[in-house]
Amino acid sequence: MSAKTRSARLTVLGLTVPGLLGLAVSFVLPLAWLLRMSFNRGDSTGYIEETFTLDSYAQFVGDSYYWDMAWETTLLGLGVTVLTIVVSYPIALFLVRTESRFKGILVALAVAPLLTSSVVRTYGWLVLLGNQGVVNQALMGAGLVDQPLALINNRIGVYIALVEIMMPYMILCLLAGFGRFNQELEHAAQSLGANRWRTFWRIVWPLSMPGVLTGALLVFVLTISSFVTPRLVGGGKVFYLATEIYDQATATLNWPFAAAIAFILLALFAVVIVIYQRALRRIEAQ
Amino acid sequence: MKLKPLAGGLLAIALATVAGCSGSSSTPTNNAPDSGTITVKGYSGIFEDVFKKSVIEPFQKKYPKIKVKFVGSANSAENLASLRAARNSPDTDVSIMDISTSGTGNKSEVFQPLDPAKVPNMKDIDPRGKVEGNYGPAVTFDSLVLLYNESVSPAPTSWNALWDPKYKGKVVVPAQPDIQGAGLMLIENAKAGGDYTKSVDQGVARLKQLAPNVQTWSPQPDSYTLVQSGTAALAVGWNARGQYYADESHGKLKVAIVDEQTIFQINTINLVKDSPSPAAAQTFINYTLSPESQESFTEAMYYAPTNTKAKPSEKALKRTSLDPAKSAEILQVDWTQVAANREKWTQLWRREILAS
Amino acid sequence: MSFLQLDDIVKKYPGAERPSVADFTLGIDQGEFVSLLGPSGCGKTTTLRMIAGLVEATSGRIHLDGKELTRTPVHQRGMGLVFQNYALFPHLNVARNVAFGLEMRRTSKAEAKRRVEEALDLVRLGHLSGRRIKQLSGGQQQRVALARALVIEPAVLLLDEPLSNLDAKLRDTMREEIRSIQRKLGITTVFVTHDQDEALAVSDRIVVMSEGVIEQVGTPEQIYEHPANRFVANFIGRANLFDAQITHTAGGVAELDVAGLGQMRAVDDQGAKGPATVLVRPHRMQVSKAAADDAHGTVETVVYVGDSIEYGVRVGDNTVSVQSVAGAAERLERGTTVRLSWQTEDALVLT
Repeated sequence: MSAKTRSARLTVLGLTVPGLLGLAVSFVLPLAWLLRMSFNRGDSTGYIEETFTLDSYAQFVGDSYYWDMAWETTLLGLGVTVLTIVVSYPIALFLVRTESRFKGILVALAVAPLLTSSVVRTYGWLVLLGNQGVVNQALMGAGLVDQPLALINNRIGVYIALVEIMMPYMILCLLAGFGRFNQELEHAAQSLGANRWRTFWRIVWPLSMPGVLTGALLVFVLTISSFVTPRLVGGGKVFYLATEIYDQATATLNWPFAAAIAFILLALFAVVIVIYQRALRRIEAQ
Repeated sequence: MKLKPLAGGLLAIALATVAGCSGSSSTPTNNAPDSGTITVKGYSGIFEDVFKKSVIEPFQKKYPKIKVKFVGSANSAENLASLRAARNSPDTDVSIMDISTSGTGNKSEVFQPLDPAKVPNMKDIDPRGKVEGNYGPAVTFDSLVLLYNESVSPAPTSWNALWDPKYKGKVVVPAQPDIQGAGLMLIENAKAGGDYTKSVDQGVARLKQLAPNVQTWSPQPDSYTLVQSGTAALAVGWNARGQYYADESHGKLKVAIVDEQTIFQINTINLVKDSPSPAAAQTFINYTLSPESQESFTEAMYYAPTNTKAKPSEKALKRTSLDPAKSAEILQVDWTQVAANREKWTQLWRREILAS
Repeated sequence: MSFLQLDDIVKKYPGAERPSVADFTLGIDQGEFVSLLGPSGCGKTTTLRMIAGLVEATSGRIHLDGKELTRTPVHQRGMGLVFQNYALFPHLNVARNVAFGLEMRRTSKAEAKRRVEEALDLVRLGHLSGRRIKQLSGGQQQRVALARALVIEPAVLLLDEPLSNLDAKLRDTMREEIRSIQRKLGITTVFVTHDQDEALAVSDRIVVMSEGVIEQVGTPEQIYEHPANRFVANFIGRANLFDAQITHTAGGVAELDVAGLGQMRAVDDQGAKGPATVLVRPHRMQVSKAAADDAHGTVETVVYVGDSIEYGVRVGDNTVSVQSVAGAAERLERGTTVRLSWQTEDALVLT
């Protein structure tokens, strides 16, 4: 090894060590602690017995209620992801294509909700979607319904609020993913005989796939790990893995079980990330 | 292996950090009974506001060298969870929480027993508020009540009002593991002739019938706000807060102490194990249990006093859970049992009540 | 009516002070290669895009083969377009890029395959059909774009500055290739460029545009030798323009009093009178040594460019360019006082 490459190596090491250290202290260690906790025995009074047992995992796996919960969580992730793509895509496409001189401001506005905490935005939805909220008042005022629709304290509310909360993330990913896109490609497709619809499906959509996939991954992961919104809007009637971790950790105080569910959720993340990378590789291989 | 030195270094750092985390606190213990800083953890919101004004402020006047810091916590479970997380280097001295949760804290050594010599007021505590082994005793008594919006007429006199089809989608019950939901279940279970130490099936069956009426089992931000604003018509809630909000809202929210059995809610005041200032902390605990402090808090927020020597005004007392005319109606509950059944009941609720 | 006929085409963008294209009328014959030439912002690309249908004309009519298509949407016009940046679909390989237009026409698989191969062979890229776009060089991308536009057998081929992104050497090769393919297929072609050499080299006819209007339409020779006005003269090739006063005109030849040079003669097609401009190309200028009191000006710059020598001669406030064949005459040094002259048939009076 020459002196030059050695010093280059040392530089690389020097630059990566602070990050690695930060990661070790803030991520790896707590995770290791959490893994250890998941093997302890918890009881329903919140008492924790230090031992080494798979009881918590067995409790999860052996109870169809938790399988249903995992399934509902996956469905929520998929549903919110698809709906977020559907509502964000036209906005992102507009932002990419607009030649307005206010483009910068419009982009900033689209992602501005990120400046507000999701807790505040969730409370906003509670107000908007409640029985006396503007949505129900408008529907009743227009004579479309005579009873307020139950838009909160149920699954519908969770979906609505989560989709809105996830939109800025999706829009950002889509905007970044549209990098390879330029309007001349649409013109080219049209000149070759493609109408708007076919231009979209054959050219615009495939080209935006990397952004769609990244956005989908991000939104899916954020959705299935979100607990504030489902708790606030769910009316105590809907349960997902993330809310269950929160309840077990802070209400039932069964930390070993909470830790075990956390690791099961992590496994779900891992599956999703593998699927994402496969899909991305396929797209890039085209 | 070129990576070996790097991996070795990281491992060393990791081990050092673990060692640092698990090492005990290096803060020196302060043993002075009348000076220093103590941190008290209790409910945030109006409890915090009123407790500061009617308990901490007078205490500070009496013990100017002890500085009391209040840290709010959303509920008892969260309170205990945070204490447990900081067990290796506690930053809290005193914690106020529900007795069903503090029992777990006592058992898992988050709390330590009090010294009767340092907390002489302990001996005057109502028997219902005493805790075995000199652990933190009751500091407030409260009871479960019906909250109702001013639009509800006539005033409800029974828990049965919650089941009235008129209030479909207008009822709020904070679900188990919240003890308000648990309490309602225990009350209904007893009413139907059941014995909760054996089974709560009868209570669960009743609540299952209630489900269609329930707007939310997890009120946001809380039951009091929803009833006050009219979003909900009826809710179960705690008497003390209910009385306070009834005054605050000028009658938009009203409290019904029903003509039936109800349950006590007991808050205990506890000394955290390895508390940084245990002596000053016990001075503070003793003060909160004194007749003068108990009376002051009752007058301000309608929590019933736990010290038998406390004599609040007739007017205030009548609005507490110890209203002499009502106290026979209290359902006796062993909170240790309730805690032991917490997870079982929670699962029962989820599957039987909340899903319907 | 010509094969492709544009009548009184106007394009005015909302809020713009003046139209981008004004009163554009032009007929293009079948098989003709016409260039739209002009500086940037002259409206040539806008005109091309109106033919393609990518830009809607504010007013005017466009006819192709007798059928009006002014309001026909882009995808129904059947024109082949090659873009300045090629606009190849990055997610499709070479063959699928070329096949795209055929897929849109629902051509059968077998026929599409055959035609894609033919088109790629035509641009000599048959061996790269499976390549991904980003693996191609600029010139190869250009050929793919051309093949993609040609494979649909368009009525008109529209080329929007197709060579401007290539390096100089490749540009010359490509323009020859485009021209030879165009001749081979006999396809009507409209070619937009800002490069006069390119336009002169490949076009049957050139349309010179400036600020949205046509300055002149003509064959390369007409445009070069008989520019209609100062703008065209200046824009096409290098030009010396002299201010002059016509003193007498007879038999297509004008006698002039040229500022700084005195009495000269020039061809005058129009029989103009009074003040005029005289155009003389630098290589048609003659320069000779003269005594100071007899000279028109002084040699200011001398640039040797191999085949020729270029002199800059200071006459009054102006500099006159003179291009001499190297070795044909005595080489002049800087500071030499000289006389300038030209053959009558090499000078043209412009109005």
